Amino acid sequence: MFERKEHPAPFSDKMPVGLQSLWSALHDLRTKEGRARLGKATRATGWQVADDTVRAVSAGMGIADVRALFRGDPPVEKPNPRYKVFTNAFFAHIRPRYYEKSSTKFTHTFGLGFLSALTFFIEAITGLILMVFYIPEQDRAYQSMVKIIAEVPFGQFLRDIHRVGAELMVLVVFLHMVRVYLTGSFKHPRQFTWVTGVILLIITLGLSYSGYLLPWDQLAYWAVTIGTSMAKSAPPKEIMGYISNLMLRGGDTIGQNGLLRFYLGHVILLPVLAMIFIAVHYYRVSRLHGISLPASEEESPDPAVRKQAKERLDYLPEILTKELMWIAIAVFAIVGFAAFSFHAPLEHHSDPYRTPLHTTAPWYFLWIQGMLKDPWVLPILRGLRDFVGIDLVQFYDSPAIQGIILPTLIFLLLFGVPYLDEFWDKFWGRPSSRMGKNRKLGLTIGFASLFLLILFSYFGTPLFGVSAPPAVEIGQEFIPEECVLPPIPLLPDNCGEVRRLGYEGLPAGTYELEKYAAPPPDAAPLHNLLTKMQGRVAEQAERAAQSDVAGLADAKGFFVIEDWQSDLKKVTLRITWTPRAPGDTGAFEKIVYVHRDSAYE
Amino acid sequence: MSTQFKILIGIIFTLLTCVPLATIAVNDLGRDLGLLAPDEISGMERRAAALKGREIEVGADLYGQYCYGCHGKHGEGIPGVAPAINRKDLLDGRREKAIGWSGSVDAFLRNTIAAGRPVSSRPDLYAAKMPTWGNQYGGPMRPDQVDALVSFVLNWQAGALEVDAWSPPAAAVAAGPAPTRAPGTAPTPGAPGAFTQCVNIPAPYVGKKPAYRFDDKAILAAGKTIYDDKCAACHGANGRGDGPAAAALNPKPANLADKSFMQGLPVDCHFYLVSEGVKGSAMPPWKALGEDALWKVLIYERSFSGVQ
Repeated sequence: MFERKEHPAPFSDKMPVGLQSLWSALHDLRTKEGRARLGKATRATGWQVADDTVRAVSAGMGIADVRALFRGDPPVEKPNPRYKVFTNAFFAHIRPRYYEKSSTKFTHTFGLGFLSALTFFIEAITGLILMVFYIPEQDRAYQSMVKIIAEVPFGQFLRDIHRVGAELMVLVVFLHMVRVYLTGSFKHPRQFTWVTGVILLIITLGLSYSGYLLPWDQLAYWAVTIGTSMAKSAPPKEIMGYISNLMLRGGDTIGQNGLLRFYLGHVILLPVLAMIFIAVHYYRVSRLHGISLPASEEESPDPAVRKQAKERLDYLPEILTKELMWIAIAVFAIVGFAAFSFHAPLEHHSDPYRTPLHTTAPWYFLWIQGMLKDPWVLPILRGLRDFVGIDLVQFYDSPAIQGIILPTLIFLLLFGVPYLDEFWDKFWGRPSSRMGKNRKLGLTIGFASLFLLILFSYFGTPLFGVSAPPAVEIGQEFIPEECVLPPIPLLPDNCGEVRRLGYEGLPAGTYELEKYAAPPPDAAPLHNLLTKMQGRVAEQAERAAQSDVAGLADAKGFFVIEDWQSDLKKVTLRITWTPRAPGDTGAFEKIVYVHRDSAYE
Repeated sequence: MSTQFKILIGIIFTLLTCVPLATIAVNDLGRDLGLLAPDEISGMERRAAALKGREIEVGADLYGQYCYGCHGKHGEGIPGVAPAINRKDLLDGRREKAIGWSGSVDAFLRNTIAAGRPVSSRPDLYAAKMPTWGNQYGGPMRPDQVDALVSFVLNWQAGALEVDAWSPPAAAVAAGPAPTRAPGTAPTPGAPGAFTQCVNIPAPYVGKKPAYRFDDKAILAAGKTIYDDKCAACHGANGRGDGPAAAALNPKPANLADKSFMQGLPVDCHFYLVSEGVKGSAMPPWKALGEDALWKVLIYERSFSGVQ
C-alpha cells in the first residue's frame, strides 16, 4: 500500500512513507492514466483487505475458496485450504476433516446423535433466556411462570420450545442408544464411548427431571415428591435414605431448599456435567473412532465394498451444508410445533396439603412406577413361597429393591453392555461381529428389554391398576382437579369435559341426571355430557345390584350450575347412593368454579 | 444432494421458520406494534385473562372453604357475625379512604386477609374478629392463595350493591354492652374454658330445653344442613374442631365430638354460647338465625358425642 514512487515531491526523503504515497496518490489524481492507475490500485487493496478478513474469520480460506466451497466447486488454491481450517480454527478443529461415506447414510444413524446435540443447544439457549424471568423462590416461582406466559413477549413460546426440546431430547437420546445397540456400534473399539453415552442418558434424564420441579405447580411438586420419595428408601434406609432424601429435598419435604437445589442442579451442575461428557463423547466419536460403518459393509467379504464404504466425504462442504440444512428443518419443525399445537402445561400452584388424584412420574420414569405396582413378579414370588417354600417375597417386596436397587442394577447393566458382549464372544471363542445374524441373542435381549420397558411404562400409568372409590373416579373423569397429562409426551392434556364446555356451554340450572338417560339426536353438548355422566352413574348402580360390595347402590347424580359472580359459575356434581358399609357417607360432591376467560386447552 | 440444493432447502426452511415466529410476534406484541383495533385483544392479553380467570376460580374455591361461614355465601355478610364485603364502598375505595388508608384497594384487602384483625373493628355490630390468614403472619394461607382471594373479592366490583355495613355505633351500643375484655381475663374455650363460660349464664338462658327429641331424624337432618353451611368451616364436618378454617384460629374451635367436654357443657349453656358467641374467640353469636334453627343445630352438634 505504501510504496515509494518517482514523483516530484516537495518533501524530502525523510518524510514518512505514508505521507509520500499520499502525495503521489494526490498527484495521480491530476491525470487520466493516473486516475486509472489509482482506481486499479484501490480495488486491489480493497480485495486484499476483504480477502484477509475472510481468511481470518474462516481460518485459512480466501474469498474465492469460500465461494467455491458453497457452490460445491473444487478448491481453488493449492494445497487444499479447506483442510487448513481444521488446524487453525477452534470450532472446526473439534469436527473431523472428513467422514467415511457409508457412515453418513441416513438410514444408518437417522441423525439421532446430531439431533441430541441440537436439542441440547436449543435447551441451553431457551433456558438461558428463561432464566432472566424465573425466580427460584417458593412464593414467587409460580408467579414468575405466570409472568412469563402473560407478560413477556415470546415468553410462552420460549417455555413451549424449552418443554418440547426437553421431551424431544429424552426421546432422541434414548432412540440414539437403541440405534447404537441394534447396529452393534458399541462394540470394540467403541466400548467406552458407549459408557459415556449411558452417562449422558442419565444426565439427560436428570436435566429433564430437575426442570420438572421449577414451575412449582401441582404437576411439578407431586411428580418430584414421588420421585424423591424413592431416594428415601435407598438402603440402608437410616443412613443412605435419610442422607439422599435430605440432600435432594433440602429437608423433610420439598420446600424452598429443595427448589433451590433443583434449580441450581438444572442450570449449573447438570449442564456443566453434560458439556463435559458431551465433549468426551463427541471427541471419541468424531476424532478417535469416527461414526461406525453399517455392519454389512464393514464386514463385507467383498474388499471393493469395504473400500467404497470408507471413501472420504469431506466435512467442507458436504457435511457442513447437510448439517445446516437439517438444523433449518429441525428448528422449523420444533418452532412450528411449539407455536401452533403445543403449550407447556401449567397447573395450579403447588399445594403440599392437596395430593392430586393419580399422580404420576414423568413419562420416562413410568417404568419405575410400573415396577413398584408390579403385576407379575410379586405374585410369582408369592407362589414360590406358598408352594415351593422359597421365600423371596420379604426380600423383594420393598421400595428399596424395586425403586432403587433394581433401577440401579439396570443402569449398571447398561454400562456393562459392551463388556458383557465382548466376554460372551470370547467365551464361545468366536470373532466379534456387528452383523445382526451373528447377534441373535443380543438382539433378542434388546427387543425383549424394549418390550418390557413399554409394558412396565404402561403399568406405571393410572390406566393400570389404581382406582379410587367409584364416585371419586366419576368426578375425576369429568372434573379433574388438574388437567391430566397423557402418559405419552407432547400430546395435549385432558382437562375434563366440564371445563371443555366452558363458561358459555354451562347454562345455570339443576340437572337431575336420571332425566338425561338418552340424548335426542341433535342434543346440545351439555345434554350429551349429562347423558355420559348418567351412563357412568347408572353403571355403578347396576354393578351394585349384582354385587354386595362393588358399585354404588341406587346411585343418583345431580349436576348443578349456579351463576356465582360476574363471569364466574359454580358447578357441582353430586352423587348420592345408599350406604352399605359403616363409614360410607352415601354422598360425593365435587365443586369446580368456571370463569369465562379461563381457557383450558 | 448437491451443495447448492442443500443450501436452498436450508434457506427455504429458515424463511419458513419466520411464519410461526411472525405469528407469535403478532400474538404477543400486536398491541405494541399497533396491529390491533382498540376492541380486539391480542393472544397475550387472552392468556393473561385466562390466568386471571383461573386465579379467580382458585379464590372462589378458597372463599367457599374458609370465608363463607362468616361473610356469607356471596359476601353479603351475616348480621352480628361479620360485615358484608360484597359492597360498593369497600370495592371502589371509599371505605378505605374513610378510614384513612392511603394505599390501593387490593393492597387493603390483601393486608386485611393476610394479617387479620387483633380485635373486632366493631364488636357491637360484628362479634367475630377477622383471623390471620397469611402464613407470613402465622396463618394457614400462602401468599398466592391470599392473592387469589383478593382477585375473587375484587371480581364482585362490577355488581356490588351499596350496603350500609357500619351503622353509627350509638344505636348499636344501646342494644347491648360492648363485650370487649382485656385479653388476660378472656376465658379460653376448649375444655375448661367452656365451664367458666357456663358459670354465670344470663337468666333468660338458664334451664332452657329444646322442644325436639334428641334422636328425631328430621331435626338432625335439618340441623346438619345448617351446621354444614355455618359451622363446619371451623368446627369441621364431624365436629372435631378441625374444619378448614380452624388452622387460622387461636383459640381453636371446640371439639364437639369430645365426650368429656360435652358432658361439662349443659344444654342450656350450649344454647347460650351458640346464641351469644364465645367472648375472646372467633365464635360469633348466631342469635340472628332464630331460636328454632339454633336448637336444630344444637341437637345435631350433640349427636357427635352422643351426650344429651
